[in-house]
Amino acid sequence: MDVKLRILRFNPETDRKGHWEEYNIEADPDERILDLLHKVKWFDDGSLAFRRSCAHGVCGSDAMVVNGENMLACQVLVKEVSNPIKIEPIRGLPVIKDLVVDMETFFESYKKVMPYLVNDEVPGERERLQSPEDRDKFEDTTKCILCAACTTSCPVFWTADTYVGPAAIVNAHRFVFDSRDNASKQRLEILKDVNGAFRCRTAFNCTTACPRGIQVTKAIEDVKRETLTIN
Amino acid sequence: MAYQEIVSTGSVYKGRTSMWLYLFHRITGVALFGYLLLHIISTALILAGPEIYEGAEAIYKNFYFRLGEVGLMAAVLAHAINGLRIITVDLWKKGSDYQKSLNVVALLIFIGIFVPTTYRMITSYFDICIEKSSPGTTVVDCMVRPLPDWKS
Repeated sequence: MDVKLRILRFNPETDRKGHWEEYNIEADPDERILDLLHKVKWFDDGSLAFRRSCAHGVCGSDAMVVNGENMLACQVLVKEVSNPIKIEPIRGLPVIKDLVVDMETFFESYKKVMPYLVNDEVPGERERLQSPEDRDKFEDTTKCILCAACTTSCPVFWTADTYVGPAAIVNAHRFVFDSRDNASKQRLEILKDVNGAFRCRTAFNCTTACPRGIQVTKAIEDVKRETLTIN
Repeated sequence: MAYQEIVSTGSVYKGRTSMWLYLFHRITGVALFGYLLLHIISTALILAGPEIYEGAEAIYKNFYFRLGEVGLMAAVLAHAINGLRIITVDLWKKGSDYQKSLNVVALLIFIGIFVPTTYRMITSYFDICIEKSSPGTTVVDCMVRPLPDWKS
């Protein structure tokens, strides 16, 4: 089938603003959006810039706005979206070139919530044990691949990149509710801040955008209520 | 490196109901704040004397301002109900699971209060207008001219 691909292009060396460029491509309905981008880059216009690594929905490199919604280009098939297909870089982060954005603020927020296990106690002879019930509390938030689809779908983040964003809160959730972790209070102190969890205004865009199906807003709500429990 | 944000791409993010409710909450919030400022200024005119205060009040005593008041009531009501919905999503443990149902519940509560209140506001305006006007005054007359003798 013939597919019309409209891509928001931006070249920092020549452009002051982004502009749309159109490509007509022959594609199979079962091909992924990423395959279309490859066709453009490999056979049509080599200057097109985009990120991708594993190409199988695990590395989280190719989050982009496809027909007005955040998704991973490697996860969505041509038949699943309407034609023409409009592709833009994810929003709220500075564009470096075409579909490549500067993720620095995103990862700064991620680091801020200490996304690692903090426990100085000696684990004993074997691993730190945890009941299946305790493990289930944060099962959902272990699935995050840091693709930034949630954070850049958030209307609050678009206007204020000081907000830590859904992804950072999801990764805080993963450790806050881990019974083996000892730094929940420190994380919750960070998320109690004006730019923390309560900056979320429950637009639920993040939940819809998450390519891993994480109930992102639900996790943020859990963290919000948890911040109310510390003094 | 020339980092640059691309602004005004001319496309709208396809959020669901809750995203539009978020935007709606912001807009009504700012609008109500603007109204409150005007309201304080208008009320504070009493400090300049009753004539000036009533001169300002006279501007409001017509059907178009009554329609504006219906809009104001709708904005206050919608902002309040949506605020309660947001608080419910935030504080109720299952709030985010039932967020779609909560949207519908909020809408139903809004309609349940908005419709009768609007009916009462509109009909009471015409009742007062016809009562204070000369016999033979119609509803259409009341729509195009100011409310007579509104002070008494």
